[in-house]
Amino acid sequence: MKKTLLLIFLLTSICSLRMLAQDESGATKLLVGGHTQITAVMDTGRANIGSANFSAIFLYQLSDKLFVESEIEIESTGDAAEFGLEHANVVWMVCRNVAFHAGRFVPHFGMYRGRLGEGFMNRFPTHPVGSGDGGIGAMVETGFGLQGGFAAGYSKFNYDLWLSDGPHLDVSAENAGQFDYEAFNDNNKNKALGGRIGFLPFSNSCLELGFSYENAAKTEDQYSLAKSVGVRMLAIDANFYHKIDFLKSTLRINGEYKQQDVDKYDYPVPDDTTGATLSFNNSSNAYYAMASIRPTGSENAIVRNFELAFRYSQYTTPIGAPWGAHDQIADAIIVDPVTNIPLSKVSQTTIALDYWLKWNCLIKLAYQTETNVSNKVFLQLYYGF
Amino acid sequence: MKKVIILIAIIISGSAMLLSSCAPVQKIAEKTGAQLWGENCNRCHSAPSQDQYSKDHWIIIGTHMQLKAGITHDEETKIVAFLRGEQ
Repeated sequence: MKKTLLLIFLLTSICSLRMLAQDESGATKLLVGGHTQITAVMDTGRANIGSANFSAIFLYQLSDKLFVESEIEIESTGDAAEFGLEHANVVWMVCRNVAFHAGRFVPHFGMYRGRLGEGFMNRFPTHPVGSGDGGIGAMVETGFGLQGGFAAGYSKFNYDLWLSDGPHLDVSAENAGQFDYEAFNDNNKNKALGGRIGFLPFSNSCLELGFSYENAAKTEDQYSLAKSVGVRMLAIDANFYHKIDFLKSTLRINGEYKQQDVDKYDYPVPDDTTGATLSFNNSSNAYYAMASIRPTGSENAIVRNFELAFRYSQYTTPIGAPWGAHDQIADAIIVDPVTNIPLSKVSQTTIALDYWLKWNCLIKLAYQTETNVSNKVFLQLYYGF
Repeated sequence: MKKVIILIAIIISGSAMLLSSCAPVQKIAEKTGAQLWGENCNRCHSAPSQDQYSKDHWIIIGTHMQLKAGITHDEETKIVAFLRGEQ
């Protein structure tokens, strides 16, 4: 009941603000953007050109103060196309340095998800292990928060603080201790509190350092035995770019470290009828580092559109858990071929040669190796619009 | 061991050289829209030119990027003015 009242209050406030704001500054402005990509994957056993997706992004500037953003995605997975609401977020610019946002939003947890890992910001056709689907942290959250940025002399800061429904703990035998980060409905009264603070020390904004943290004290259904299992997540990120004059090139280096710690709990054992339980130290971490170089200062128009990129990533999952790192292409858990037990440490190395057709359109050719997964060649066309 | 020390030395000296060339030269508040456009857009992607979108669309994109990339309100105002050809 409380929730319903809060929702009605929020919607009423937003509608009232919208009407007031419209009176101040006139017509609504709309931009429909989006992105599309098609990916071919080749390894020793297959050559698949089947992976395609399309996203439409709706941006409404309702007034100087009010802004709405939403994204709808259609992607091919397995044998069918999936249609999903990525996010839908209402933003009220409270003042110069503070914006209030409410809805289903992309949290600034680290810098990869929602920013450097997106479309043409990502120089690779894949995500680092532990940072894509099945990795640590939420791609989207439902809730509200405050965000903004401000200058301090030669430096800048930005921040995002949010209160959200938080992740749902999975206590099923097969996925014990994993989370559904993006459920549409909450499973308890507890809320997750998270945020990120970013610091840009140099006046030319070439370096950004970030620290993120999220805490959910309760993650399971409020009537479950596991209702008090909490989770804490942190991320440290860095992004650097610089023009190197003597090489006539632009260098990019970025990376991120993420960690997740979950309270202990005795989970059921798969295929067991005796009532035995499984307990393990449920801590995971993941990191990646990437570097790319593009001869942006070259006089040759073809040469300056090439970019060479290298990335290394590693994902460590709990020892003894019935799950492990996820193979993004095969959509399966990576296991030891002898014991068939999920691997608790997986690393991935990717090298890519990109060609920029436009500022928002590129072709990515990549070679990737990953622990206990066959080496792959990717060819991807990506267009943001 | 020797190799590791040499590699660390190269990384540290390379990083020091790169970072020293990024030394602060101008307060954020004193920068023009064109400067801020070049510096902030390139943090994540190539900077789009003025003719990529209409004047109204630049207003929307400015707000979107303020939220997405954490640029300040003053930066957003100057960058949008530049992209709309008002500077």
